[in-house]
Amino acid sequence: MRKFIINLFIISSLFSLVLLAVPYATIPPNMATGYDNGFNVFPLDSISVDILFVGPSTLSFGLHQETLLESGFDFFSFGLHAGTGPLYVLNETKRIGRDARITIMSPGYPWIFNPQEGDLVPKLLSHSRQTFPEVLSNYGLRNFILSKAWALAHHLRPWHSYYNPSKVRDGFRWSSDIISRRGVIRTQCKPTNQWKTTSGKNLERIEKRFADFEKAYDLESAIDFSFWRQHKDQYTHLLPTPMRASDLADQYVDVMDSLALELSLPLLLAPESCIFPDSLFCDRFHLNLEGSIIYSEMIAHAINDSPSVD
Amino acid sequence: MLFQSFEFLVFLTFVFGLYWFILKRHMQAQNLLILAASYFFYGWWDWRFLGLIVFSTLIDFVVGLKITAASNQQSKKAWLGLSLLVNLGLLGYFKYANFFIESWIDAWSYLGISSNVSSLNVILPVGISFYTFQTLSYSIDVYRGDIKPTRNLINFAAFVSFFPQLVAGPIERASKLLVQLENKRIFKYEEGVAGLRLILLGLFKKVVIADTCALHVNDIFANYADYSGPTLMLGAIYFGFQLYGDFSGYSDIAIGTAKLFGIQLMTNFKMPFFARDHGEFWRRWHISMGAWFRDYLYIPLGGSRGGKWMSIRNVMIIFLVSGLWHGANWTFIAWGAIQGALFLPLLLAGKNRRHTSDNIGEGRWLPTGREVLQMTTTFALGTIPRIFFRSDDIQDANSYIIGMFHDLKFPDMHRTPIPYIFALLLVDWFLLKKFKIESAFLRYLIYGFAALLILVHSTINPAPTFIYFEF
Repeated sequence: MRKFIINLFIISSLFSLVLLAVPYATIPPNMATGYDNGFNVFPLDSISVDILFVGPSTLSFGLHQETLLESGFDFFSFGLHAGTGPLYVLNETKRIGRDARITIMSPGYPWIFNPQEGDLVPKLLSHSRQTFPEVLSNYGLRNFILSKAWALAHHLRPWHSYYNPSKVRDGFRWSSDIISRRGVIRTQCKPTNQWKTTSGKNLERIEKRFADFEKAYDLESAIDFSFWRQHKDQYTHLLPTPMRASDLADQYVDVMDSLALELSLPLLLAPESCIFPDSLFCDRFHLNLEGSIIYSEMIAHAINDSPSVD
Repeated sequence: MLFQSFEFLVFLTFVFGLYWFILKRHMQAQNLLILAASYFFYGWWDWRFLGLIVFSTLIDFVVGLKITAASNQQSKKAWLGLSLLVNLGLLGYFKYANFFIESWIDAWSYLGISSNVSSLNVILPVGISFYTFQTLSYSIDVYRGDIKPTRNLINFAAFVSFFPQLVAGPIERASKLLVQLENKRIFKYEEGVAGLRLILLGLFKKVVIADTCALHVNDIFANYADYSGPTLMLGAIYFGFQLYGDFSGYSDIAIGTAKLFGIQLMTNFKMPFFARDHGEFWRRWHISMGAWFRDYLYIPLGGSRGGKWMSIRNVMIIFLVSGLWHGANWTFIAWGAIQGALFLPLLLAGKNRRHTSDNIGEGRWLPTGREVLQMTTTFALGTIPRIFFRSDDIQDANSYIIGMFHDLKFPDMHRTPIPYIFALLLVDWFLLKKFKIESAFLRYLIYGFAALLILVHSTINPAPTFIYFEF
């Protein structure tokens, strides 16, 4: 027995050391610091809301909580990383969607670029869960200990920078694109980012993707958005994502219009009205605080004017 | 409490410490600890259902004593009847009441007649199929005179509720487990190490393999109408490995945990995907359930003694009942029927016992081409009933199978589990061949790597439970 206990102790200790060393060696510090900032993590099963927003991270950044709550509705924003793909997002939200009276789906343009990106899901979840264990819905003691270990690892390596500085956005957290949150906007999301992707070459590439999408667009590719099974008293609207004026806005307007027609779903906002000046964005896709307030005011008005609202 | 949870690690450490350090010299106190720990373990899910285990335990304890004390065969039969009535009654009510009521309503509505019967909202207690079978086998064994009844209620209750195998087996017999609980146990270093190894293997199978497959299986089965045929084929293959990793992983952890307490449980899986035909598969898959049905249903029904037709009838009964045992759904009955249909050709040809030994790839490191073909065929055929096992209803299963042969586009996604499956097959093959790594350093390096994989995957794969808990 003694030998067994001693050996077990030695092996466990060695393993614990390795365990501490692994995150030390692999976790970038700007992720580990995210732990201190706190998150709003909701147990999905317990959520029951009037309005459910479903879409990519443009929702996480684009919905301003106070502005929307002023409209008098309880809402929940399920803005996930666009790389998870629409199928995954819709599947994940099915449970909440059963109770929501109004579902507002925001088909992000990354989905339109590449609607079959669903296989990124395990990778993204893995990434988020390893980095921010607290985003797990069944958050437990083990995760707490692990997250502490990772935070420690960060403190031991503060000089290391994982991302190219030009791609780091202030206040951006990977997990915010993964987890569901109730319309929380980060005030520190400032338009300081210099990450430019709309160079001439990129514009050409994106233009081609739009063209490809429109060419291949048919009911089969639309099924991702349309399989939502609703009850009799439930309504669904399409919400155009905010678009930078400099970023192929016209093409996106066309795609949104044809999508709404194909799915026979009303658009909550006119796509044209969702084209914003670049100064309201903190990066290529996501609105900054000012932009999110404007966008959310438009949404709140539209909801109040919607025939689905009593 | 889940085996892969932090709570279980704390619980196991605490019980292990008490068992070997404080109560080492007091066998009865050790059994009392096992009983208390088992009830705590079970109550962690839902303490309300503890009453069912206690009730079932008391009934069979008394029945065992009464059968022995009974002066004539009729009284013995009556007492056995009571045990059957109570255990099967509990199982019937909690597991099948809704199924039969809903099937009744459906049958009438099919004929255009509305029925006034309404379905019940019955919650299925975790592991009820396992522990009722265990207590039932005790009463039957006492009735048959195979074992003597115990007069110690603590020992008996510990046998019924022994926490490592309480909720998902292996389904133990009193002649093996109860006997061990009634004798002094000694800690052996080799057994302790073997136990830890099995726990590690089980966690690897569950957390790394099964839960990785589950991520993809859930998506493919939930959206099968949207996927191409080959993706559906992949989904069906993944589910086979998910089921195997999940269930055999649980069994390995259970057996390993029991070893830490000086108790041996029966082997439940023997590398079933290396089976060369369906008969061999069932001698390697869920062995404790197969043995239970053989001893308490197949043989009493006449087994193979009444000629070919009697054998066929009995085999079909076994498979159908084992399907129903898995769950109250027509999909499980279809699963059983197809399993029976796959087994029958072997029975009719008298080849169902062709492969009864571990002689796969005998005398060589790799299986022969013929064996590979046999294994692949057995696996491929076994995939069909597994689709029924996984589907929500028969209609879904049929559509899924039809969908497998449509739109034959090679899948460009859902390929992540493939290397995991190869890893599992490799591990199983090494175990089958009893491959030993002589270098202790290399051995511990592998254990450490496996533990790391388990830890990392436990944060990736959000699979909260084991599949067989639902049965």
